[in-house]
Amino acid sequence: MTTARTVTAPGGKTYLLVQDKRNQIPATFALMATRAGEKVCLRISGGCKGMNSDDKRAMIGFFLMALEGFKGMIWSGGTRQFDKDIVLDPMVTDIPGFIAASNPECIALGSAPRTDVLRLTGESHLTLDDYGTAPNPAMNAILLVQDGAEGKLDWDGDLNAAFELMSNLKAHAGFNQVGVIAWNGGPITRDEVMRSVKNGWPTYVIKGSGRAADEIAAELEAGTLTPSAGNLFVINKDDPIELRQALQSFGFIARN
Amino acid sequence: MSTIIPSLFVKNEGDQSVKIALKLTTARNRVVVRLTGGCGYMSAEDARDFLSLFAEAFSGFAGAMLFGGTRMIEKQDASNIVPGITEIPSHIREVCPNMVSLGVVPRTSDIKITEHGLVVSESDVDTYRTIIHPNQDMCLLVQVSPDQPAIWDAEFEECLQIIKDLREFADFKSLLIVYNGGGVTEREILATAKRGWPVLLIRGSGRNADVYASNKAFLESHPNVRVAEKDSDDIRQHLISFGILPPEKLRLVKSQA
Repeated sequence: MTTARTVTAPGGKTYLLVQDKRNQIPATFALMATRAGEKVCLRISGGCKGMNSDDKRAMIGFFLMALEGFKGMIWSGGTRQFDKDIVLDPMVTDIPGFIAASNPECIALGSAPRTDVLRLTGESHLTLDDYGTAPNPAMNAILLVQDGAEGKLDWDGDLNAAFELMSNLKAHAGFNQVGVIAWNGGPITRDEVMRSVKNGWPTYVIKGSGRAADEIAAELEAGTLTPSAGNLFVINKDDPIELRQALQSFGFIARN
Repeated sequence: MSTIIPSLFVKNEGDQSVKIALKLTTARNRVVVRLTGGCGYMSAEDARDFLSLFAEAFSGFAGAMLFGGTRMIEKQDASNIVPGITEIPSHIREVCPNMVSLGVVPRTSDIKITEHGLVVSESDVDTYRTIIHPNQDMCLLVQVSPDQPAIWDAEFEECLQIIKDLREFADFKSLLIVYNGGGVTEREILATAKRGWPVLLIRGSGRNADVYASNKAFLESHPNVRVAEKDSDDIRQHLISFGILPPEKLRLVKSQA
């Protein structure tokens, strides 16, 4: 029986690699990204605060339609949350797994900070905190960033590693394009968007998804966003084709 | 001659290089060949025509290649290159622009900056000195630390690690090709065969390649080890059967397209 805890990554195996925040990203994790059929990378940033079950299903549908045929590496935070009955409550961090499951040459990765002591619960289930947050088993590999054996990081503790990987893929692995899509989210999502913008990467905020994405979209449209950016684009939540076409224009997805 | 300017990286024991790992994946095909064997102790007879042998066999190769990364030049006349296995990749590279070559050099003594290049090894008893090969995409110099040199085995140990990562995490196929070779080569043959990774021994190339190519018990107990004759067509057929080169038919179709 498949549950939210079942490993559904290709081959029934999700690699878990641990990096100290003072060290560089593990070469083995970086190599996983190069297994993608096409050398493009998208990071999905954000959250689902304020969204009900229907909203979340709609979010998954939005991305499945926008990214149909995607053959690159897609990644996000590397966690999954489920209720006490082990039923999946889809989050932004489940999007890469859904996309990879629907697009055979796509690779799904994740990153997460170690914010607490790792623990095994129930039938040896690995969780990252007391709230039941667990590694997402739909991903090919997850990078766990820690501050030494006993330190605890905040939830943005993996961002340096995440952006280091994307920079390395572009600089050394022949990746043609890397970019960020923001859905909803809070201050960490804003940070990711602004880092991506600063790097000159194509960056998309989904207007109507809520919170940080909406705030950034409003600032951009009002001309009050600092710094203003030619590589930041606002996409309407109700129009996945608009995102698809925007991604196609930068070579993330082949044109039909 | 190629106009590649090699990038030189230095690695301490326990370090890793993300940059090198990723650059190897820029090869068009997801295959890695490790070429090992004779250098200073290879006879002139064993070295005869070996450059064209491999250049012909590897025509169309578009993977990554790992090798010793050095060149031997005569002390009396630095323009004279001593034939060694490490001369082969640059010759293949001349006709295979879509491959990526990485030389792995153990720093066994202090490096000297000379008019002939970076000298990595020189002894009073040899008539040649060993420099960093000028024709390669990247060169990785391996040492224990700035004060502590590495041993010669560090070369193949580093290559084993790189190949392991490429196989396990980047879905690469690998092949160790052995031409001639002495004691260090023997240890690499055994280490690779034990892992079950593909090995191709060139029969007729001399020394330990021949010793193991004629060792029936060894070959029977390691089906991952095969033997090719010292013939470019035979080597090529083995490269195809290992998946290192595309099938001839497909290659012809592509070249006609």
